[in-house]
Amino acid sequence: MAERQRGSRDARGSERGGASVALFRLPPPAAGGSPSRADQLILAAATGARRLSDEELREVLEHVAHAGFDPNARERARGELAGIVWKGQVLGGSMMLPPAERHYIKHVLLRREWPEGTTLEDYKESIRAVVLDPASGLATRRYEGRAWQLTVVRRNGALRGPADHEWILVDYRVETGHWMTSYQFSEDPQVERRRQATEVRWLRRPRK
Amino acid sequence: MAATTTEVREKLDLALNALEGELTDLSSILEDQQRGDLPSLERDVRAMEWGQVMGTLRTILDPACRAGQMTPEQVARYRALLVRLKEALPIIERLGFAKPTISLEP
Repeated sequence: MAERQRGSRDARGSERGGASVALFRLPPPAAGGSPSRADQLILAAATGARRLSDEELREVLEHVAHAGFDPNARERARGELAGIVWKGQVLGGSMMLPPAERHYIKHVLLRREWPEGTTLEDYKESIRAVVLDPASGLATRRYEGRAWQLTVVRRNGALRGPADHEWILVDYRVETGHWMTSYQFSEDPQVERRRQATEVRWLRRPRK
Repeated sequence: MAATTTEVREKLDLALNALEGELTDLSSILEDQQRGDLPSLERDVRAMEWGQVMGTLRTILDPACRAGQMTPEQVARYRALLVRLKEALPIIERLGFAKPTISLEP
């Protein structure tokens, strides 16, 4: 568990349809190889080329649920995380962290969006569960007009932490084949999804 | 079940912490971008997290301040953060991050 170093800052706290998958041009995956069939399905749905069958949607969600954060990427800790003790080491602002760890430290430990005691594994498992939950809403969108993403939103329910938000979000980027982020928010999901994004298309609305 | 005063105070403290945290990181994000040392994916992630906090500002902090739900200390801290946010607008513009949609006048 992370804590602030003594003397540093205080801890702070489906639609149905089509029978075949149309082929779309995708940027080469970051890790090389061909785009997965699930990513091609997301693009087909995102561009309105076709509707996904229930079976195809399940295939997409299984893929997204198990995609995880990119284990080979690194994100800078920066000032907000500086002074946190993580894995026995005091974080400096310039240190680079695997995305899963940076997002966990920021959204679970510091901002307390998840319940107290949530571990890194719990955080990742909660993301998988939200992606696979039939109550979750699913939307495709083009972030800043250039990058296709699948966004999953659901009422946070038992995942609500002291920050007392209403919704949990998972963003998956087709280009990389990994989760981008997962956080909780209180904004109307319609507003949240349209921020900085175009071509927003709901594949399934979240249950209220 | 209605939130207790302690829970509301804690929620507002956490929301203020989140706004302060994002403001703290803005300059280093811009510096990295200007040096060509900010991967586009990390930039987009930070833009999304910034947007999350702009939503918190609009749906939690601004209404709570207007409704008199903040302690005097929280009001003072909130007003100071609004000043910092106003000063950071040029950085926000350069990064292409979402602009606040509430009045920044205390």
